Amino acid sequence: MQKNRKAPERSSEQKTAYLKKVFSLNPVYDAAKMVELRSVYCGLSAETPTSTNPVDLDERKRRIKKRLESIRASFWNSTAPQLRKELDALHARDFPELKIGVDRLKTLTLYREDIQALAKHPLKEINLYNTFRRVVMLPPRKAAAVKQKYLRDLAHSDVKSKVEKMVKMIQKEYPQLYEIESSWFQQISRIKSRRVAESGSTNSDGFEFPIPGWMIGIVVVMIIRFLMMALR
Amino acid sequence: MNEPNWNLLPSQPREFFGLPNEFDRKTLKRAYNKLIRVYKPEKFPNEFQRIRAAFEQLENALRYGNVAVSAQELTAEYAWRPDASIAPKEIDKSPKPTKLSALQLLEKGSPAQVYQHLSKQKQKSPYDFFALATLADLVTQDQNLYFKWILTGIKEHANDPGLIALLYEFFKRERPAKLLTSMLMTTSKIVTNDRFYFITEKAWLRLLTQIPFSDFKRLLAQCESNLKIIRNDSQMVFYAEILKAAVWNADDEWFSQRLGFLNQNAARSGRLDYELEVLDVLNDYQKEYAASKGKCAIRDRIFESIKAYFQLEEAKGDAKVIECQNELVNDAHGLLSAFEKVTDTDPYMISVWSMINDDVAQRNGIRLGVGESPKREKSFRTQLFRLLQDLNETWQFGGKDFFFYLVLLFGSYFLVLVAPFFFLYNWLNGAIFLVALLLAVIGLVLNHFLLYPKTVLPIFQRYMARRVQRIYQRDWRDRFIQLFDATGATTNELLPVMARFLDNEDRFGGAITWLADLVYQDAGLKLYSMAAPFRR
Repeated sequence: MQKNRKAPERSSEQKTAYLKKVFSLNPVYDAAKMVELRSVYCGLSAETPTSTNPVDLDERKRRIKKRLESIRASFWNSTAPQLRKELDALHARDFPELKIGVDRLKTLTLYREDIQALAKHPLKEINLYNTFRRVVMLPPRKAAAVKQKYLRDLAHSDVKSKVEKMVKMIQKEYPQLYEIESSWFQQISRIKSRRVAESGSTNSDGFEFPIPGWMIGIVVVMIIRFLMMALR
Repeated sequence: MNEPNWNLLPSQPREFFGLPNEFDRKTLKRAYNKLIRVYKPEKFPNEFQRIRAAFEQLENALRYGNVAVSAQELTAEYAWRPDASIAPKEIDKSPKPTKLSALQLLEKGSPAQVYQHLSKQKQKSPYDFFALATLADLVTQDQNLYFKWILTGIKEHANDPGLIALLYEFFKRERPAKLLTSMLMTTSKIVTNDRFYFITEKAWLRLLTQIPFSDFKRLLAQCESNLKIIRNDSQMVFYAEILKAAVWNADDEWFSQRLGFLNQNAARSGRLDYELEVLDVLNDYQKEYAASKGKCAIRDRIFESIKAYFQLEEAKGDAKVIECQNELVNDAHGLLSAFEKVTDTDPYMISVWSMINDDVAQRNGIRLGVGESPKREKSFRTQLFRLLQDLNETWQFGGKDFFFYLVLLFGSYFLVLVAPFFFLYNWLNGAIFLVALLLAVIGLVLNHFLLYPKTVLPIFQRYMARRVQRIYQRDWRDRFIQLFDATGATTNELLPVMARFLDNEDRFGGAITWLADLVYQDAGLKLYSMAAPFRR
């Protein structure tokens, strides 16, 4: 048998309390609790599958969510170091669904100046700029709704060429910002190309003409025969 | 949700979960998940433990029958008293202890003295063995004595439910592999009937992830060789559970043998239909995955999560699945490109992942889909309709497609008509002209009934399918992703609503009718729609 892990030293009061608790239980119903109590007493509690966590994870999650919302709200008014400090302090590692939002905001703190510089760019289209600024801040569900609405409105607006120019400019001059919402930017670009398609030109796919072998065969033989006749 | 009646625990777990007299594992799991959603282990550790214990009690009773310790079979008044060395069913409902309890003994002496006193007794009751096991932790440095005393107790009182329950719980805890191996071997020499499977099942599940499979297989065979009485029922229940965790690292021969054993005996038992169905899908998925192993990071990631779900304990398995879902949703593009080809359907993976997804979401209070709220449903329909309207124009097929079609259609007729005259040109006198004419007519008929439908048309259809597929991938997939993000809908909800729109609206026609098929076959989109609710 393997060597024992050393049990923690217990006072006689602790020993008595443990025995009183364990001996008052009925193992038919409370075996799990009894083995759990023993694990805690022997210092093996970390190994228990249903160990109780004193920290209320649910409450912590709610707090982080609330704090995240408030960081989002004040994002453009705080400094980048201050924002990073606040985001680091959230400790969202235990909540993958929140961690994504926190990581995204951390990324945005790196490009905050770039986003602000976009506002002064001569190729800026104000509606796209404002929507982009909103979209990067919002939680996924709300952001998706805003993006959908923008695409719909754009299809009927008369600023498509300005928007297209701005998207190209972001892709060229601020690739890091383009990457954040690349899928949405691509959709914006395609709306224009679809309109062009309507006015007569074709889609941008390659043109291919697969033709049955027997048709090609007949044509080839006909050409050979024609050449032979011509040479005679 | 109404507050459950805690007074029904521990003696009436079925009533506590509100289950009918006859219920299956699926129904039990649903009732359990419903409660766990409210009484999460982090927030309500005590309530969670009570619910979990009641669930396991019912589940074990369902699976192992009377081999398991079931409170339902015992009278509510049954108490584990110092004189309870007699069988539970013979116990007087209000027994008078003939000996002093451990607590009473402790009032008169130290734990060491009580331990000495009890260990010297020739006739020991189950309670004495339990007391010795507990006191051993206080008076000796050997933590293994706890296990030894419980096991010795079972050796002398083979059917004592208290000692069996304690050993069962003991094996549920994590232990170093070496220690666990030795404990399992010792137990197989003492518990030589099919109760061995029930008591040690959890330990075997844990061991699977701790030691190489060859060692696991050898140990299990050695332990089984120590058993003297085995009824197929318990062995089947045991293997049905073990195989779900072993399918990922077991060798083919061992797995097939055990699966064959289950299939042979399943018809007789009838209880394992669902388990066998799951095992078949897992086996097929394992083979499907083997073909793409290491080639696609996303498939590998999903495989690891599925494996963790079946091999780790519930909470840890759930955490792995939730983590994976968040990764998938965070890398939507990676996910869609991994399943870009029409052939990338991975049916078994989708089937397993969907089953796991429902279970984990149910237990963790994650709402899947739009749900039954009229407001949400209306918003979903509106957004879907707008999306179909917006993108309807993407199916504009240009003149080149029509030209290609004409080339193929008329080209085929032209060639069969002209070719005979062309080839026989040098000899075209009266009789040969008639032969050429006859050949041309035969060619036209042949083209109409054979060449055109069998060779020309399929080529055009394949060409169009590729064009449609490309348009779908370029313009539609991303918009569906946004729709899932905005509404929380799943592909299963999307398809019927979309089909209705496409049927009833004249403005949608032509290639858009292919859309439902494309979405149905799109594994990437299905996976995304399953993952999106986990991000909320």
